[in-house]
Amino acid sequence: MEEKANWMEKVSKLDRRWIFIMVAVAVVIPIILGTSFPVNISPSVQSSYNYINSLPQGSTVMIVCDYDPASEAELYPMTLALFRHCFDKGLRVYSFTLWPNGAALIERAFDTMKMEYADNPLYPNGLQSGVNYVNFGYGVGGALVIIAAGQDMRTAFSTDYRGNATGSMPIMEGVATLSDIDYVIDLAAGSTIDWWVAYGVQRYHFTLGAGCTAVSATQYYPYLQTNQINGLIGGLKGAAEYEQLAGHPDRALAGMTAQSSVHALIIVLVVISNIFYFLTRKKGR
Amino acid sequence: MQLVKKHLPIAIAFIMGVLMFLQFYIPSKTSNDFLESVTQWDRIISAFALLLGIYSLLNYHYHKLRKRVEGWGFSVVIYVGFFAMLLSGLIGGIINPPPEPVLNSAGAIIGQVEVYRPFMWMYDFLFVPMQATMFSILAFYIASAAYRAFRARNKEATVLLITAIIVMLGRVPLGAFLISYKPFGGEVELLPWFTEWILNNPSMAAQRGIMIGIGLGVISTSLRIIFGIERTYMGGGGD
Amino acid sequence: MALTYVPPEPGSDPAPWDNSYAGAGTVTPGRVSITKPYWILFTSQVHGKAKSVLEIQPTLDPLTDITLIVGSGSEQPVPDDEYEHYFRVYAVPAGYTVAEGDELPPDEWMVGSQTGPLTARANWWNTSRTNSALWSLLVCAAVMFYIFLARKGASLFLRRIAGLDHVEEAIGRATEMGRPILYTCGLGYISDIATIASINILGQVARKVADYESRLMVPSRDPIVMAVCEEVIQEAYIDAGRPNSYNKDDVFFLTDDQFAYTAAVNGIMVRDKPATIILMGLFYAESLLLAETGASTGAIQIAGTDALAQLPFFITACDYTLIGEELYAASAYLSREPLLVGSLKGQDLAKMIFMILTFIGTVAIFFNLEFFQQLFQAF
Repeated sequence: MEEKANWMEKVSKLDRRWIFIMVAVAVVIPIILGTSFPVNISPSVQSSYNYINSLPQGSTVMIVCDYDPASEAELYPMTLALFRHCFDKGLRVYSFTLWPNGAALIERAFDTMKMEYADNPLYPNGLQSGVNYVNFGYGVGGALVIIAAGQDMRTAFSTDYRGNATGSMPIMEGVATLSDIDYVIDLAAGSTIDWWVAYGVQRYHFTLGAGCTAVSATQYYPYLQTNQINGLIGGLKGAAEYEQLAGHPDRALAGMTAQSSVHALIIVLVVISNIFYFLTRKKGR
Repeated sequence: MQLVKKHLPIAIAFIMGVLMFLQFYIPSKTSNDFLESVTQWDRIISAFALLLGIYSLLNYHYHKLRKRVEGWGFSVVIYVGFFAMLLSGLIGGIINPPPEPVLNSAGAIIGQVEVYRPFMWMYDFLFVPMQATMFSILAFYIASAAYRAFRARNKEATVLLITAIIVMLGRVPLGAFLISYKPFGGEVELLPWFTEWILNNPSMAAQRGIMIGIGLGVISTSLRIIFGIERTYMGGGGD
Repeated sequence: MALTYVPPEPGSDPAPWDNSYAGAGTVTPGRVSITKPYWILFTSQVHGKAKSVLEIQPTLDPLTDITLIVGSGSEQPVPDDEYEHYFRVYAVPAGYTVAEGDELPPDEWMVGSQTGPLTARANWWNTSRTNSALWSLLVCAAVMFYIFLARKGASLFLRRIAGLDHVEEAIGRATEMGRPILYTCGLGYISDIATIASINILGQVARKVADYESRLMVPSRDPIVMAVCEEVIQEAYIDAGRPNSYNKDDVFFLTDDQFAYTAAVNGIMVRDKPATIILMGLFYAESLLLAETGASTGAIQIAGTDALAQLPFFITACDYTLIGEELYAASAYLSREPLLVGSLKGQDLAKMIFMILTFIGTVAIFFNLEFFQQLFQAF
């Protein structure tokens, strides 16, 4: 009996390194097996997709990549899915970031798009920076960049990431301020969505969507309900939903099985810990 | 000295606070020009704060190196990493050239290979993986924290536990796979539907309540700063 | 094609798309009725060139009458308000476009006659934001009222905040165990309100630590925050009468990179094994990394943040957590300074007013009383 009590105590206070190993196995095995689940589409993701889908060719979409490599796993697939959707529809894409380490990620994403759309009939000369898309790079000043862009985009972003002057770029035709952008979507690892709502939407009145890490998603539902954002893509699942809608399955969809298995593992661990917690408590009495 | 160290910053904070508040409600050209000017000045000052950060980092580790404080070897790594990235970016540039074509024996292009600048190589193969790895550790920590702390100690904890399980299942395809029943004749399975309901109703209500409280706290603290009651940012305490 | 142009009526309403900027200008609109779908170009002529071109595509059934209400339609204050604006409506063939600065379309395409000259003048007050201003002033008044009461010496009640009640106990524990106290102000900058609140708490904690003659370690992510922390702690030690006990090396800047900072702080926790860890301020994804590492060392942890997404992690991993505005209340709670307590009570009064209005608003919406909603139309 003593031995059983000790064993229950040990399981109840399991060394976390065993848990780390279990999580690692739960992530790696589904990826190796390559299994997949269909993904159901949530209304918040559908809303963003529908809005971009309704824009006519030549419309302007700003995809703000407010994240750094730490959040790349969740937000980079989202970025690629949005870029692909926009370029499929022949939309003009503008991008920048308020995080210093994020500018190179945007450039990498556009380089990937250039390779993928090299032979696309919509773009006989391929995707060209300054014509079909522009990467403004890192904007210093946080929320002040949003205000500056709302006042005059050419002043706020006088050069692009590669140092070319933006004033005379064909892509800037008809775009003077944020109000001239048909859709702005902020992919945020931090709290920049709050800035975009407070300093962007409320001042300059444009349509705003949002993408964020899964852990932050719950705090943006109030904005969704009041229509301050018209869509919310939350975490890797949101990215997977968008990939499915846009018809470009990629990393996010591939990651769903691993995410499902880890969630299942955590639930099993929590149930086991509670069972042994009650058993040891009963023993203690 | 008191004038410069104490009274002048308080006066600047008061004047700028009031002016920026009024600017929001006055739509004239003068007001707009003022906003543009302040925005540009603020961005310039923010950029200089980056330089200050660089100086502080190097200065701190210089002193560690000089005094041979425990762990000074890591300060060497800081210096090596800093100057490696800086010089490679300044000298070699930060934009990769176009990919080089790969040719077969007949001279036809069969693929292409990325050409990296040293800066971008270090960014893509050192910086990005390291940052992504640190963030990924969270997955393991969440599992261990959940195992340790998600105990049904009382009624509230039990409700929290059950809700967490429902949301964890509903937010991944597994939930729809496990229970395929679709409530109210809709198109969404039970667990994802219930998860959306939780996020759109009780969770949002709680978030909104906390956000309103935080918003009021921000207003109150901002008022204290504007009226000079709160002087922590100058290195001093309250009044 | 039958197009009739109706001259503007005195005192007519602003154009629909002007609502977002209603009150900001005083341009009088006109009305145009059309009975056939054509491309309608609306131009504001300045110096004979097109300006502020508005294209309206025909999207309705050809037999449907359309009434257009036209106005100046600008989201920004009119930049050249010294110019006179003339308004013309043209019905143009499909595909015809006019860009800003172009020559105007042929006169025979003009519908009705030209309106103008009209000169736009920006108002001194944006009346559509009056609601927002009034509610802001109400909140300010609530805060200032209680600050005034506090200055007069009124006794103001504050409820217990469990996490803060245990700060002294936690510091005592560290002193008994001979281990340091680790305090972090989070990853925010000095411009973040949470960081300012954290530094206020740090001042109180430093004062207690100085009294107990314990060791307080404060790793910082931002050099400006570090500089402010140095001064606050130094002042606390001077106030406690122990200026020589202050160790400048215990307040240090690590790095401004999020996860590098986290890794460094985790290293300090594992090596130095502080008995008490206080995590107050603005945190992002690293919150669980810090809290879980602290928990694994056996330290007592008190956390507080206004970052909603990180609260669940702190609540799970820490012994005591200050939720949202409790962090802002902490400085008033610990110091009991009348002005700080007064501003906290003012906050609470404003919150009480909003709670009552929320309840009334819910009832009003239930009974479809729209006028109540109008009171809260932001802009």
